[in-house]
Amino acid sequence: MIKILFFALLRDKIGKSSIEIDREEISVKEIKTYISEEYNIPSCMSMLTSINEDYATDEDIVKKGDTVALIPPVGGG
Amino acid sequence: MFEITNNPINIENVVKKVVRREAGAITTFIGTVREFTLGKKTLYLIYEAYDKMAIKQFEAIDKEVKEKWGDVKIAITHRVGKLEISDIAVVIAVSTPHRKDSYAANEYIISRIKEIVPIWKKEHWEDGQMWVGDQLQKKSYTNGKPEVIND
Repeated sequence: MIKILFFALLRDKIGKSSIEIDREEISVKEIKTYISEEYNIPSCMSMLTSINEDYATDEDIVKKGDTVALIPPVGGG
Repeated sequence: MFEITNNPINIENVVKKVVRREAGAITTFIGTVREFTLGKKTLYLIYEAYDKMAIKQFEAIDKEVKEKWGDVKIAITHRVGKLEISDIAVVIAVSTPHRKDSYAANEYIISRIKEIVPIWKKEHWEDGQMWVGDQLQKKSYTNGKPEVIND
């Protein structure tokens, strides 16, 4: 399984903090497209992402066992 | 040296982490909850972090700071959860042999936190609430992620 984490406004919109998808391999862009369509959140296409706590690009490949996070605009400090 | 906490931050404990014989200066930045933003009254804030990744990004910032200023020791503690007006959200302590580097590195760190560390805040007002994204992130990153400055 691949775990996908949601934070802040994304978690509020989706109504849960994570989901799991059953895939061997998938690109970050494919994950974004899936979330965008499944939950009707087009803004997630431009969000930053991470794979296993490191920033990722849309072209990066996520593998079984990885944890992906969609990172809405941050506001720390 | 890097911590995300649900509890009030003890400033002195953060400062103590950077005390060392080589230091001639320690700067401390204390970020607090402001009551009015653009004329709008904040009642309280909720901070949330992706803890594990936030710590990793603090470590990345540490690396950048050491590349830029060399002999620098830093400590960062960021609070999450519900914060009232004037509560401390973040404390950054920096020690260096000389003061100019300490001031510069400290300001650099808070700027980078606002850019790359996965921490979010929800503003609560009398008439509503909203997750506030830093304006910095509204620009698009050409390589799909925040720029890591190495120079």
